[in-house]
Amino acid sequence: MIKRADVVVVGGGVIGCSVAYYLAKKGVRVIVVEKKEGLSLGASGANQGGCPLQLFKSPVLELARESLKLYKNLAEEIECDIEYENVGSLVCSVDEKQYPDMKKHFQDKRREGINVRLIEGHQLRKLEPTLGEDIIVGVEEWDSYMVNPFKVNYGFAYAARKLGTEFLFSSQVKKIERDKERIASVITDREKIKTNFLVNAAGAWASEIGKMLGLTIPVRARRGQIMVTEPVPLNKRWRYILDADYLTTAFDLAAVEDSKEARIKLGVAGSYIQEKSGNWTIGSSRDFAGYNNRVTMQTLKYMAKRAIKFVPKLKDISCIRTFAGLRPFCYGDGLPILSKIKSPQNFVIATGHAGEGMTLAPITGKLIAELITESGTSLSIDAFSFSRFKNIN
Amino acid sequence: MGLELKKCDVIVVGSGPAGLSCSIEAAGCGADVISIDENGRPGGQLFKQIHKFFGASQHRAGVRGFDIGLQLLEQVNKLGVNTLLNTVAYGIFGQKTVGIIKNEKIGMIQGKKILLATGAIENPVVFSGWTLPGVMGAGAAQTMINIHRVLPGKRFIILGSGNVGLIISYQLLQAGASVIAVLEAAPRIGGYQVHSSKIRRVGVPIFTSSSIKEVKGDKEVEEVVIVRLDDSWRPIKGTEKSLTADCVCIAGGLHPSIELAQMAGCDLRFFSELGGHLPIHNENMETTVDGIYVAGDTAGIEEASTAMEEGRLAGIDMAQKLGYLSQDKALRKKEGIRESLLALRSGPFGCLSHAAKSNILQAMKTKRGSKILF
Amino acid sequence: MKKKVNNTICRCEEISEQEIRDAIRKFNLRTVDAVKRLTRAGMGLCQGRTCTPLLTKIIAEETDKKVDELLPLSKRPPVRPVKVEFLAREGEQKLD
Repeated sequence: MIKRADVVVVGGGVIGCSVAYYLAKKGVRVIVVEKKEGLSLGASGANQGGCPLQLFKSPVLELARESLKLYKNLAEEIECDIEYENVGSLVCSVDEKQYPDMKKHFQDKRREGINVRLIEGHQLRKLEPTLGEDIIVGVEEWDSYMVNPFKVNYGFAYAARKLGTEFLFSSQVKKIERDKERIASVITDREKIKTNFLVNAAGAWASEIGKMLGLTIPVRARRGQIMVTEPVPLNKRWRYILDADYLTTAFDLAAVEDSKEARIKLGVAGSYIQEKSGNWTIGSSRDFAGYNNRVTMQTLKYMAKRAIKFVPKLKDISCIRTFAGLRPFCYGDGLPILSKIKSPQNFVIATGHAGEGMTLAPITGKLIAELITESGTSLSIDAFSFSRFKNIN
Repeated sequence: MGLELKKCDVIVVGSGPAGLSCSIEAAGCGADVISIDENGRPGGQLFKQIHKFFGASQHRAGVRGFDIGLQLLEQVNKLGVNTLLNTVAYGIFGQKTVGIIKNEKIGMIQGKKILLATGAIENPVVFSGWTLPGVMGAGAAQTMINIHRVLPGKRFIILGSGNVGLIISYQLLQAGASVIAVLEAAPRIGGYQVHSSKIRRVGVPIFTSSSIKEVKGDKEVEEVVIVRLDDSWRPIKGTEKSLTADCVCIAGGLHPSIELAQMAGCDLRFFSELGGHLPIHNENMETTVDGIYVAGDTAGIEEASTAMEEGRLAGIDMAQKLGYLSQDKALRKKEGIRESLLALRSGPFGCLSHAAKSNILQAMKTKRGSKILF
Repeated sequence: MKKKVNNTICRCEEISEQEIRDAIRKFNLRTVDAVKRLTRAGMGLCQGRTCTPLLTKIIAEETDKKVDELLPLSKRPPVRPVKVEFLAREGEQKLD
């Protein structure tokens, strides 16, 4: 069967659904193609739902700021309670040697205009008695939010569908047909779709789509493991606690790979979020294991050990579930790719968000929609251009 | 790997009739077996079966499940099978590793072969008030009266007239409770006539084409409203009848407990005659994952007698593949067991299982199962 | 025939039948896993041991899917709750 669309979006993750929604809002006829039977089955469905402002640096920081603004009214806009909640964030360290780094982090964030506060360990424990004795210092900030990732992903899809977007499930892209410098149609194992634009929002699988066009998209699947605990009473002050090592494991690939420490090599750094329901999610880890999305006991062990150091009461709480997801990590420079390319001219890439896809989904959708329908974008995306990988292609 | 491993030939998860039988065969041939059970005593559901088994004598007819359990345990002990009780197998990982927890200690066991014989889970039935205290699974009630010697109520309504529903009814009577009625949604009684006539004889009514509309009560079950069903199992208005009771046992059947098999990546398929989704397996009970076997209810809901034979098949095949048993001997043993299974799966109930089991073998050949990857 | 009674389906998370039906309709859900993710049914302590067959039945009623096509909830360790402290421990050899 032949279908027609203005834009085909590959990938039913939060990025694909956000792109579809913002395009549909502009009256664009979108078809979303998803290889699995449902949405949120990659990184979008395997994260903690945290949107931690103080972790971002320019140029992603600008995106994150705008994205959080869009999140503010999103629930109303898409008619879906996404459980958007201001939980702030606390980055803290259990390592004396990191004290200067924490101070620098604090100063950097100040300079970037984030309202951070440096708090010494003993003071932290006064404010939040559940914090561990080993914590020497922390940096708090109250512009971070958390959301329910599934609700965001499915909410975008719900709103897009209401605006006429069609979703094709269990439908895998097999071939992309070209007509000279342009893509003419997308062929899946079930249908052929003639289209004016193709958006690659396939996340950790984005490079596979690139290959079909002879392009190397420098994105690899980076596995992240998470454990979930039973619900317990809510923490009074901080429900989003991060390990200072996270700044390394998430953003400094070289430091992870060169590390002598087994834990760091597995990318394990604490990220603890207590959901409204009282359940804690315990993250995080980062490793490259192909498309293997299973949890490993070795990594869980390091994660559990680390968690107890930061939030000792977690030791007596039961873990009821674990999961792992594959995040699209840009091994070129760790930054997202939000870009048209030279050829084919109607191919758009929207991926490489690594662990930040949930935070950046709204702004990504908005900017990609502008990129396709307007002459320019409301926020510069030059830093995320595909042309920065000239030496690869 | 920082995690220390304990190694063995065969890991048996679940020490019910299937698991114990597998352990006996494998260990009997010389394999080093570790058997795990989350309960404080092995035997699975056998120790709840205080009634005598039916059928031919080679299938231990006339023997109580309880005594069969004792016999199996004796053999397992004699063979020196390492049985870890109060031990939870919380996960199954790569390279045939099982993660376990026992007495607040965590460990990993690696086997060359694994049997997953984790049994079954009771099916819930939903009606208004099904969450009230006093509504429970028939299996739960059976555990309470036959193992813990506690009677959870005085006046019982049983929902479901399969063998489980019928047996629990007369076991409740034996324990001194009143059984007000047995309800069956289908137009006819589900279980063996031997069981149904036994409870009818003592005056317990069995209402077919009937179900529970509502269970009422302030803090616990006080009143059960039953209703007649039409041909399409819809309640017929005006046929409601109120019964006074303080306990409702749901005997809505069982479905295979397949969590670990799913985790191991075994291909699943749905067989309604065998309780639902189950790991497809070959004639030696091996699943689509090399070296991972299933037996008993995990391989499809049947009876203790078939579970034991399936466990034996798996144990013999493991022993053979590990080099503890010659092919000839293994073949002969397997043949005997298959004959026995054929006999067990004859009759009006057995033939349905037999047909479904044949379809499993067919599915295995074409591997049309659906794999769940996580 | 409208169903007025709103029974609890997932006892662990206290999710009602109506919530589940509403989510299936609103979000066009077609798998047991998706229902779990959007409603929390099956997300609690027992991890869907009890309610999975009920969810399956409801999805089959609401969609064109048949019960035998609906795969059970995907499973990940642990199959029983395990204290975080235990997961943090090094493997211990002496288990018997």
